[in-house]
Amino acid sequence: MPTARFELEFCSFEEAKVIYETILPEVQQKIPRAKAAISLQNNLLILEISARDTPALRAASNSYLKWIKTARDVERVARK
Amino acid sequence: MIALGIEGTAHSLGVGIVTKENGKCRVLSNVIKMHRPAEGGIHPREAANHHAEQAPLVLAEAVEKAGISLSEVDLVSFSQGPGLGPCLRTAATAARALAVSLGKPIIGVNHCVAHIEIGCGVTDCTDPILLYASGANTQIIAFTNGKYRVFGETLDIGIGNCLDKFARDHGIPFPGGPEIEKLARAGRKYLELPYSVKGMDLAFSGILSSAAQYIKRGETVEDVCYSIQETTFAMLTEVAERAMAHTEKNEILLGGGVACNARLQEMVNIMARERGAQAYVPPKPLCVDNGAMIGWMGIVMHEAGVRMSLAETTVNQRYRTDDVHVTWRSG
Repeated sequence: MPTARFELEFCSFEEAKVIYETILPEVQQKIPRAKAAISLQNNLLILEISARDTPALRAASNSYLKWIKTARDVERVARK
Repeated sequence: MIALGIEGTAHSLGVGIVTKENGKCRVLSNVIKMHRPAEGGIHPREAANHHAEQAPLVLAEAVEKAGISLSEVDLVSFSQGPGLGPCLRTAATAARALAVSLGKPIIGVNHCVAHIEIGCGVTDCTDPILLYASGANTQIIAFTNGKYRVFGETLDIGIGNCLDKFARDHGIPFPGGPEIEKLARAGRKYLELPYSVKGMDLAFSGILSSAAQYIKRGETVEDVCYSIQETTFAMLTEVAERAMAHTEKNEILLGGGVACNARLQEMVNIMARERGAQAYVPPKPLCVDNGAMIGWMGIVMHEAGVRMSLAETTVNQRYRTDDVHVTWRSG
């Protein structure tokens, strides 16, 4: 089963925590052919994905990374 | 209370900022960005990518146009469903990020019900039949016994989808509805199409096939567009009228992108007038998919005591109109 692990470093713990709380419901909602988990270590967000096959791993990775970027972009607008 | 609503069920990403004044909805801003594919129909992933790119920009523009600061927002709401999964999840993610950043409550709302409530919020109607005619959804809805009930709906594709598909297949640019409306004005000959009203439900795919056959046989696009409009809008108006008769309601509200069509409005107005009823149409930016209606729906639900945890804000692609527990109305 192919897996991927992403370690994403944010500017602060506060920023990372916003992203974590935002993405957590998406991680808990099932997506086809893949499973994901996230955790938070200070300002480091760790995203782990396992999938049935490589295309599913790529699709899931693209989805979660896109949502993380959306959350970060919106958080930055809110912080201004 | 100031609410910021994020809409993202399909091709449009919208952010609207609204407040309540004298019991009515006051729109402070309502910014909509539509994904327009270079060719073909809407691909959910491409539309979601569009929404992801646009979310921070549309948010900033809506705040600027509203003339407020984000710290003044009391509530964040978003379209929880029904819709395209990747699009819904992108809008929900943006809403969650905003609510968590601001430390404000968040409410997920039903997109279809939001079309009704914004109509009641900006017009004088109070308890209407909603003729909801959009790309993906075609429903005739009314409030009875604690819920918005679907009295009739499409059995296959939405009316807007029917128009867009015909347009796409015949070189008419997206979105097809407004272009078909223009072409239909030049149509002179009515061509018979399948009038598919089945009980209180409707079907449009046969019309699409039949219209394509007319084009193949050399009929003009203008006449076919005219015939599509006359047939489909008559079907919608008939079912809406029967729902009015059944529920004994004397108000009809139009919602959805196809509700912007002047010929549909004319037919519904005639029907309402002949019944001694009143027809209402919100302004165009509030008929199409928009964030203001989502914001207003958030205010309505929040005032009724609805609260959601972050865990409850996952999307529901098949969120039915009649799944919503309507605690803010009685009857």
